Amino acid sequence: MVRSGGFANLRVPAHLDTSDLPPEEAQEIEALVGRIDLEDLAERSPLRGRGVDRFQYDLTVVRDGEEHHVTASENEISPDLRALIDKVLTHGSPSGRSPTRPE
Amino acid sequence: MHRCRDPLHCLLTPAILENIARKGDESQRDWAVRALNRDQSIRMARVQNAKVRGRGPREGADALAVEPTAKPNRIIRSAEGSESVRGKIVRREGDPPSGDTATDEAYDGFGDTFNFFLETYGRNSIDDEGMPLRGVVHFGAQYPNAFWDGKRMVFGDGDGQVLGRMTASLDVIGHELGHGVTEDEAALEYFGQSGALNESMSDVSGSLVKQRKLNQTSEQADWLIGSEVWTPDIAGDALRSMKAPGEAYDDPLVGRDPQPGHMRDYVDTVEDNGGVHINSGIPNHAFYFVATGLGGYAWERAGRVWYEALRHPTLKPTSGFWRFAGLTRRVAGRLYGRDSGEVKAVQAGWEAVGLQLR
Repeated sequence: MVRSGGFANLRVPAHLDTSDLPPEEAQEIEALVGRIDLEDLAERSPLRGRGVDRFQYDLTVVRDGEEHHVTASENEISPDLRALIDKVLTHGSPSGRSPTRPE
Repeated sequence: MHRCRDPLHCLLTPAILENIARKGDESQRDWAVRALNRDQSIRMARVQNAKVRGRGPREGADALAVEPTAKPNRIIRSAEGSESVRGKIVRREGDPPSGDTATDEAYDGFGDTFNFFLETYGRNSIDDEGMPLRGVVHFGAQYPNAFWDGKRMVFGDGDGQVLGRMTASLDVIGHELGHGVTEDEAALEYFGQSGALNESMSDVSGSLVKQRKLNQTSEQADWLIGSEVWTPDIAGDALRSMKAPGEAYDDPLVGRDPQPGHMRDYVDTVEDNGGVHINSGIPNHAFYFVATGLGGYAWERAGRVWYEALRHPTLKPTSGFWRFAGLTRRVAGRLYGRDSGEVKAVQAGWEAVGLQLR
């Protein structure tokens, strides 16, 4: 995941692999991911021009071997997606790995 | 948002005129553009009227009159660490200082920005109709950001590690209020080049508010955006530099300022709404060149040209750098004469960032 934008536009990369986490935390995050309609979000991505000076999140979520590319603006995020983003920001490591994006 | 100002506009709103200016045949377009320019000259007449009236008693009825004593109407709320924009009101217009730093910085910064637009360009608040200036401070938990949400300006306290209080820099406040003005006048789409232009308008606005407050000429100004926002731990002068895009900061933790200052370095990216805070460095740099090329106070001529170009009816929501650059030259010609030094400075400023106007 990469956070970008905001007034300062400081690029914040973060990477989280649930297999590196204690089982309880991994389950919690996997349940969170399970509740998010990734197909729908991916279809609506990339968002264009939402939220003046708001944060933008570019996520690549790998679930059951399938990659989903999601772009979301801070001001229109569901509580589940917000919770997932917060988990990645707080528990993830700055991998510097940019999510690959389909053109 | 315009209201009816004279009989012509009672029948044809500026929105309709703008539509004609864009889509009509040649003679319709000319007529509509003239009518719209008249609307702009009416605004300038109002400033003149306000000045004249300030000096002596008013003579007779004045059809173009607005309140000569337009005043800001500031309403500051505190989110108290939540993400609600409907927290309790902590300071209203006319209230004494609250004692809370962010509240009072927002209140004072709104006042400085309001006075800048009123006294420099005759603009009565964000919508030129006296819109209340709504602010929210202490937004979010250690929220390292500030934004305009279409109705209000919202400020976080910063994370405390990288970024501090966002109200600490007057130019951040002027920047957010500038977004409101840009939205009202041109509604530049917040993506790609039109978005970078939108961002640049806000940086220009923020920088000019600061320069006027400090009574600095273009040579004296530092041309920095957000110089008070970094925490002391970060190696950087500011978040952005209009004078030297790409050189505002270079720090092991947050990296290097990614802004280009020339078209040859334009950054194509999907992040940051297509690089709106990155490529804004290019028009920012052009403004710096125009202002310093002209010398004196940047808001007087360079700023006026930029402001009138923003308000030009042929600036579209999807317009990019080229169209805006062309409009600044056209506006400079109208204001100062086609062969004026101002036109030459505008042309040279854009040329210096790789936008050669033919």
